[in-house]
Amino acid sequence: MRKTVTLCLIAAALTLSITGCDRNPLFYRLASDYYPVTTIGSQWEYSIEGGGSLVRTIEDQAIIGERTCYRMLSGADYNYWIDENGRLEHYEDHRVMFNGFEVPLYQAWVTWLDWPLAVGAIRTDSASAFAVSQGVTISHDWSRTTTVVTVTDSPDGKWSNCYRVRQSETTINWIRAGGFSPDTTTVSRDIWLAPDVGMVAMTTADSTFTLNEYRPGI
Amino acid sequence: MKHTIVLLLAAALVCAAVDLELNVSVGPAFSTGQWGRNLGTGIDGRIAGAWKITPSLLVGLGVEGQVRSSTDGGSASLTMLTPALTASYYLRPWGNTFNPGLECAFGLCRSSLSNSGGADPVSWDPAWRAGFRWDFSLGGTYRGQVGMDYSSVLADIEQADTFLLLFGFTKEVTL
Repeated sequence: MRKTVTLCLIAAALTLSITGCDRNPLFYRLASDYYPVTTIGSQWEYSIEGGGSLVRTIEDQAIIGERTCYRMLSGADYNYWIDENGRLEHYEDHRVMFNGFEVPLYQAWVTWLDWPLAVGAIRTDSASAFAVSQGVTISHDWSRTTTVVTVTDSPDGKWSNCYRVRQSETTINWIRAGGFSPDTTTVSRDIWLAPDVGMVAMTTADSTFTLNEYRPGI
Repeated sequence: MKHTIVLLLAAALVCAAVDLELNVSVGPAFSTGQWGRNLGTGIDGRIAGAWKITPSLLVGLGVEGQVRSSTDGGSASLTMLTPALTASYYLRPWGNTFNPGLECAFGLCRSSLSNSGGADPVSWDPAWRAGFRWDFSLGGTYRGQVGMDYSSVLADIEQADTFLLLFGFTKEVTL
């Protein structure tokens, strides 16, 4: 009798396991690097809708803002990244042109993403700063909200288990002199991050980037 | 439904005729593999009831829970809850200070990840664990237990393996 009961219970558990409901690769996502910027030589080549391409390469390590980071060449610009302690940090270097001079307004390491990503997670960072150039004060207010929208395939269907992340970034620069008013810029972008590849697509109001090729560094 | 009732009645009849052991244990859970790359060491807690088929062999049911948080003390948390069938075999059930044994379990793990106000879709996956036990008397009907387990959640694409240390105690109950 006892054996029968035991066998019945084991069979019930096995049946439940095999027919297991709501399975999804949660642990695969946890194990994956959704923004692999810590390998020198990694290269992403994107095509831009309407023509053109963008190549991003992890060039080397550098010391920026007193911290060791990875330097990414993105088109003609450099971006700086640190991925440690469960966060991806980006060096924000905000500048404005005034009377032919480039005025630095805000430089700091700011968290770009909090690992691990989870659907619905929201992160907002903001900063207020000012600089004086040629006797004129320029104020700078910046905020960025990042929302993890869903787990999905990339728009071109090549990559699965992507996190779709939506970023909304608002910048208000105001030259505090007569004749100037606050200059507000808002940029929204949707980014698809694929496991162990990184950004595979990005759409903004006026551009769409799609990953053509990814060559991981060694 | 009818079968479930019959099953429960049969289980109740069997339980009524045997010695039971109620076990509670806790311990640290160390992720092995990349899945724990952004999570810290977890805490495992479990409660189980088992009946002695023989003095050496026990079969039972239990619930195991594990909680992990971000490595940086951030807001992420992963909770894993596993109802499981357990089976244990002890080599020296008469031993007061040294009663080594083996235990294994099989169940379904409910894994849930949350971070910064969001939550990933919950996943239910088959899970198993196996490990060693050192059981000893604490006097009366109480027994202490230390042990180690290796557990695995057989999730889609990537499985989640964990090494666990356990510290617990057992209450022997005769019905």
